[in-house]
Amino acid sequence: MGSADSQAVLIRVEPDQLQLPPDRAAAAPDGLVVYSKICTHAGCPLGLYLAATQELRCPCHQSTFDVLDGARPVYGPAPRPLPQLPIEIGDDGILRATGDFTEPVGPSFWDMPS
Amino acid sequence: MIVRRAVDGIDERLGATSFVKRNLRKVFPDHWSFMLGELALYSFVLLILTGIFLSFFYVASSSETVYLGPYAPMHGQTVSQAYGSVLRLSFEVRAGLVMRQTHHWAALIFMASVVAHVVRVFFTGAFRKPREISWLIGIGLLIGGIAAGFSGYSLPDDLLSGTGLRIIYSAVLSIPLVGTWLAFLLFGGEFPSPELLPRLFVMHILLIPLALLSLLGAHLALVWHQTHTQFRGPGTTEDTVTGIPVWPRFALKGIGVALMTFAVIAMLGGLAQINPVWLYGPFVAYTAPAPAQPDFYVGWLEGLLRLWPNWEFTLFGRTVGELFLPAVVVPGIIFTALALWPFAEARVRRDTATHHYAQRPREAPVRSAVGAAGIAMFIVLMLAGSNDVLAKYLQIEVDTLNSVLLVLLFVLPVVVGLLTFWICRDLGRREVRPIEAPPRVALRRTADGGFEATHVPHGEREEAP
Repeated sequence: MGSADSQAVLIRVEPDQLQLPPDRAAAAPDGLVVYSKICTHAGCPLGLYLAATQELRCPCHQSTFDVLDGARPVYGPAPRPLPQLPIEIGDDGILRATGDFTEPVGPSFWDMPS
Repeated sequence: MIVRRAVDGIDERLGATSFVKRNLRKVFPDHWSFMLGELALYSFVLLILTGIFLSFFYVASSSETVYLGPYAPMHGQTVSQAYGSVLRLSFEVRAGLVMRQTHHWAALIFMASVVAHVVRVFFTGAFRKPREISWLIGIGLLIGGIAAGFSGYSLPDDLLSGTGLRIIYSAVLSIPLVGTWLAFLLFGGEFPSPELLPRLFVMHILLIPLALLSLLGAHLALVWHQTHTQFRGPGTTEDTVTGIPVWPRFALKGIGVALMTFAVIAMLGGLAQINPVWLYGPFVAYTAPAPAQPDFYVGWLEGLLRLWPNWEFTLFGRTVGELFLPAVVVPGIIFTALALWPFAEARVRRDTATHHYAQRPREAPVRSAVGAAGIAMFIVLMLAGSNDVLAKYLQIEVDTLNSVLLVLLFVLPVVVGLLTFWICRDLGRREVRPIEAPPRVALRRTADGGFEATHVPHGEREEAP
């Protein structure tokens, strides 16, 4: 079943629509962006994708994240953006993660490095 | 003859006859609203009976197995042993499904009767001195019932229950200072740990039922010792109890109600599908069901999570998670307020007297108003907890519905509270000057065949000559 925290979602968007922080832009080659699939509110997997507005929505408490804007929370109780997983396209055409998630995955906790 | 000898034998050894005789003649007030607590007791008995049956077949293990049972859509899938055992219970074990569904329905009816019973006791002031301890135990039973229900419907390890567990894990994690440690202690490591299901199973079938049974025993013993409250009526005073004796009337009535409770719940379990975990699928970490709702007694907590704003703040340079306020602090305040209500009310009223009369809601307009407002808030939160289903039925956006519910959450309790206060005060005022009883007249037949009317003062009885 895999670790509950390693779940991620890969979405392809128009590369010029993607507005990521400059240091993270290279981590989403060709508009392929990977975010943690674990909601930063209560840890539910973000099962719903609103294709029209390009938003990820949590089926548990309806937290909604803007895929184009670095998965910033735009609606609902989630306080933090979804961590991004930096990837690259290898010469063989296979996607590889180049590092860990940019922030702690899932809901916030007391000992969380900030 | 044999019975007599057995009874004598017991009496010679235990000296129980006088005890039994005294208690069989104990009087119980006979008002329908006292039945609500009884329904909770009888559904609890049914919960234990069906629960024992289920525990014969349930496997509390998250180690994986390939499902090869008769349910075709799941055939060949890798599932946890827990989920597999619930499928086996539902499709292979004889009477397994009816037992599972009866158990689940009994849990819902148990919680509904507990809530109704608490509401009855609240609105009639039956918690007042000397019954505050019964009230505290009752609130303990309410909280224990929620814990029992949640731990129970989390056991099948299906997608819905796994999501619920993850939310609870996140709520525990959000507690300042000890959150991480507490979450690991309860869940046996980072979610979803292989320790989780065995731990949950022991909680559900041993620790929580033991706590509930002890509380229930203490609750019943207190009712027996302190007697029920009663409404004012012919022959009642603050110091005497009127009603029906335990044997035979109350006991036989109780057995009848118990059997009817069993019958109705068993009928629901046989006819009304509940928690069809084979449709939800096994728990997997990468997806959650939509729409998803908990059972009703957790629904208001879920509504609180859905409506709460995304506030997150730092304390001493550390993060306090968003969930801490709506999932830990607010429910804590609500249950504490509920538990302390009798003491707060007595202090505000400067009331140190003992009360054996139950009040009518109109006799305490402020309390009734607060109670009604609380129920209104509970209902709005419960609707918020099922906002996804509601939005679908109403054909509106969830966002719109949430805004409406947020307004209702603050407005509705105030409106309902004021309305209740006004109605209670109005009804109470009418009772200050009750309609005067018509004069009583005694007719006496005279010797010549006519009638002679004489007035009889109230409170006196005309004796028949």
